[in-house]
Amino acid sequence: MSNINTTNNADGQLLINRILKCISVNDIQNYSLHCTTTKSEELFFIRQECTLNRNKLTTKCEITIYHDFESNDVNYRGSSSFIADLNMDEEELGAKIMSAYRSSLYVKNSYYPLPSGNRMETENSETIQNNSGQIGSNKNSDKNTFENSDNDDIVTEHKLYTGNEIADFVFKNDVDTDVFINSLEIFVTENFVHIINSNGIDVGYHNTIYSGEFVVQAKTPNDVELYQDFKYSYLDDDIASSLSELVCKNLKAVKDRAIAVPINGLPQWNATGLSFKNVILEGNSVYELFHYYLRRTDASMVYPGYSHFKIGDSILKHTETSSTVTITLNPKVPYSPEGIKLLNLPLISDNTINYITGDARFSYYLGVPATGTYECFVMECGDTSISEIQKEPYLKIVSFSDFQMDEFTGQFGGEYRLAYYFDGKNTIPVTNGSISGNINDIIGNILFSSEKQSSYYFDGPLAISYSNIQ
Amino acid sequence: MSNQKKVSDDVFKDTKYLFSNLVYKLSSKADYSDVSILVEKSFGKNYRVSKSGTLIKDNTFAATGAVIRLQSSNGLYEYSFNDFSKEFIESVPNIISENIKNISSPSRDISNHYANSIHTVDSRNDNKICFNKSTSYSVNPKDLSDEEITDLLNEIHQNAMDYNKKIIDCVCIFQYLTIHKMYISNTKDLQQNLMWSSGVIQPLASDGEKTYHYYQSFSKLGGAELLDEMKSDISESCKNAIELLDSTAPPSGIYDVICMPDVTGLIAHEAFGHGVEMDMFVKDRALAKNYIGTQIASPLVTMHDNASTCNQTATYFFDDEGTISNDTVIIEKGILKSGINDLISANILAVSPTGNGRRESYERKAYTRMTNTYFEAGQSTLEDMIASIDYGILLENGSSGMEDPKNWGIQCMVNIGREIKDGKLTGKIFSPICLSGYVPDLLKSISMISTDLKLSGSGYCGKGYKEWVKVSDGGAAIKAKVTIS
Repeated sequence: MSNINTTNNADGQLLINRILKCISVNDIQNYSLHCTTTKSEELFFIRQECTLNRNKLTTKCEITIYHDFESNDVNYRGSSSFIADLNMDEEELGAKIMSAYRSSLYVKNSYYPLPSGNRMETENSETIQNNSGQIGSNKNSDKNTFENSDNDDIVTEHKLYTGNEIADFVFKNDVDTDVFINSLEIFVTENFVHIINSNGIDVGYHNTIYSGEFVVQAKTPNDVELYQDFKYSYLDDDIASSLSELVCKNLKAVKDRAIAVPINGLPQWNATGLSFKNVILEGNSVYELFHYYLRRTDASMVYPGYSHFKIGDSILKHTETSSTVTITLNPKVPYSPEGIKLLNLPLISDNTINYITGDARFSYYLGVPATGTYECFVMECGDTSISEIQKEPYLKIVSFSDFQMDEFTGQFGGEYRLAYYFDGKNTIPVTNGSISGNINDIIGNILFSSEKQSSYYFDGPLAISYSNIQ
Repeated sequence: MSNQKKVSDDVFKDTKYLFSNLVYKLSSKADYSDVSILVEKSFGKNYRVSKSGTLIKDNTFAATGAVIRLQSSNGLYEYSFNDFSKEFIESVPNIISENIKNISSPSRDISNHYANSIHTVDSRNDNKICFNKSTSYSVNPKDLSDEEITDLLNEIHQNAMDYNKKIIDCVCIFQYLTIHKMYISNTKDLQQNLMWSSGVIQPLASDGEKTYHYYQSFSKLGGAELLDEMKSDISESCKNAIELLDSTAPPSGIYDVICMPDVTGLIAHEAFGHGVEMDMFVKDRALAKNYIGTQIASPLVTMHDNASTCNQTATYFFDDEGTISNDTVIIEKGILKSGINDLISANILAVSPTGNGRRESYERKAYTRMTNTYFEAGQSTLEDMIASIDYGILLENGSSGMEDPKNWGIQCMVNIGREIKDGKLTGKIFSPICLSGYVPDLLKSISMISTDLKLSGSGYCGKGYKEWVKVSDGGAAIKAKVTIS
């Protein structure tokens, strides 16, 4: 990453030392710090011309101060947090810390233990991990430190790619004049994260995230576009080549959108809509749909009663079903913001919930181990190919305006920008339609493709299919 | 009002010379032109009470940092940082010089069409513009104790919980942000000091199987006086949440609808606010650029984006590129009059800047963004509007939307639809509702607008799927024809 001034995380350590001194001077017993130094290189393109280069260097630390107190024979742990930066001197930090300490008196949350580590004497907690992470390897800016699920520390060396090298991969297949990349944004972000608490947690990690988004455009017969984002926790030439392939796929899709017809303009359209047997969702909406189960099994949803899932429950309403859902959590960073070691947990096996995941507080309230919270997961594919799924009339939606998934009700849907309608004989690209449904009504009746998709957040079936029961 | 106070304007008095010197030093280098700096120092708190407990933390958008922007031989360049020590600021010219040197020459054959057109300093006036302006408030949230604020939120929460056993929770949020921004270039020396507050009351109802919520929002340009508004009766919100338990999905189709002001605002924002962001004109991503001066909505429709005079959360004196804020009339009596723009887009398109260049924070790029976006009020009463519908739906509690400026599609998610039959509400509730369609069809179908204009600024707006900024939107109730699924 040649155009980022990569030295080390000295700024972050300086800030942490200053904060810890103030915490000590003010005799604060319980605290946690989450300190991040971020360096980034950012490129913004219109067509293939870079119109803006940006760099960023910031250091910030979220400080949470806890305050234990008793009221009517009940133990409480209040907390209040604020963001500290390098401009705060010891006087200002001390004042902010004491202000947070006073604020936490009005936060009447039942007691819970902080995650524990072995830096010092620890109090009991229900966390399932115990760390020993140190941030020593951050001095080497050309290495990514990643501690994997079985608690072995691995230092993996990766080539670091510049923004312009990533742009070359994106533009590699952008060679046509009628279908092309309209615009592109690239972010190469290097993070140094250090997490400390008063209960012995002292862990950190360094990662480089390559992310961005591009818009593809077709000019004829209709002038249309499609949006695509991307994100990688590391890159090699094979993965970077898959970015070139993603561009190809989008260029082909936008060509189809250019000839797509509004669905209500099809001759097959009648008062009740279209007739087809299956709805097929392909691409990112599959992740969005099944992310519902990550939310419903999160302790912050279960504790207030928004979700009634328990360990051992089936996610299916009925036992007679053709679906088998297996979801494994797949963290891309080694620690949660609280410093809890993140693991590759089998969240759901054969439709049965194995874990209620969550942070220290809500997990303690529910009496389950604190696992941290997760966004990324792996879902098992099915054994039916997409071509098999597509033998009967279907509507396959590949691009939504904004796929919506309601974590409270399970309702999903949205307007689609590109779909394919197969009437049993012909496949026609269609647009300007919308679908809606409820995952709880279809979950027992979903077919998963054998073909895979792979992204930062999701590894799983490329497509799913369910009966058009509306 | 006599009890109105001004947000303090002396936050940068001890450090301003450092940033002025930095701009001067960079401007004096032959390699650079159009040097400017935006310095931000904002703070505020977020209070949240629910069944899950209480939370007091810094406002998510509180930030301290600066961004330098300049033209170099390698094109337009920005550097964001948040270390304000004298030592670091004095090292910034060297850091920038090194970073610009390392911008590798692209191997691709490019036209430099845009880079040659970009100017980043608004130099329309010969005289240097200088001011330091503040907005007003009645009660500074910092003068209230955390106990006073959490007590009030706890009281609202408890009232909701006591309303009915089906109410399983009520999320109550109050947040405020005090923003100080300073913009310095060779032609401008500007400072603004702003304060906004917003609140949410969100009761959740459950019958043991399904869970629904209703959303009541509050916002203003000002301080903790907003809490007085939040004390209002919440029984209606609780009743709405419980009614949703009996809701059904509406049959798909085209309906006559009445959109309540919050849904009107969502439509204004998604349908034509995003559609006239002129950085999208530059990228050839917005159909609207071909329709300036043409009829794209009903003659009843006049639409504004107004950062300068609204008592709302997206009001400011200058934008994040130092352009003075404006009240831009986007649609006037159905005719598309103007887009909104950031400085670079305005220069490339050779139009006047409208003052809509906004950053999520000093850490992010400036884009063309909306501020307070709304339809003007009309002359009908809500009662007459409902009475005019044989069969239709009254839509309220808009939740989210997505723009499609290129193809003028619209998608808005709405929480509640109330059935109208023979000019009367039947009591039947539909939920959730996905409103979609072709924007000009929707805007041209507007046949009645009520007299009561209301803006709401409790939410944030993204550019696509990121770059969140505080906005407000609204209007009056409108009668239109839309596709619902």
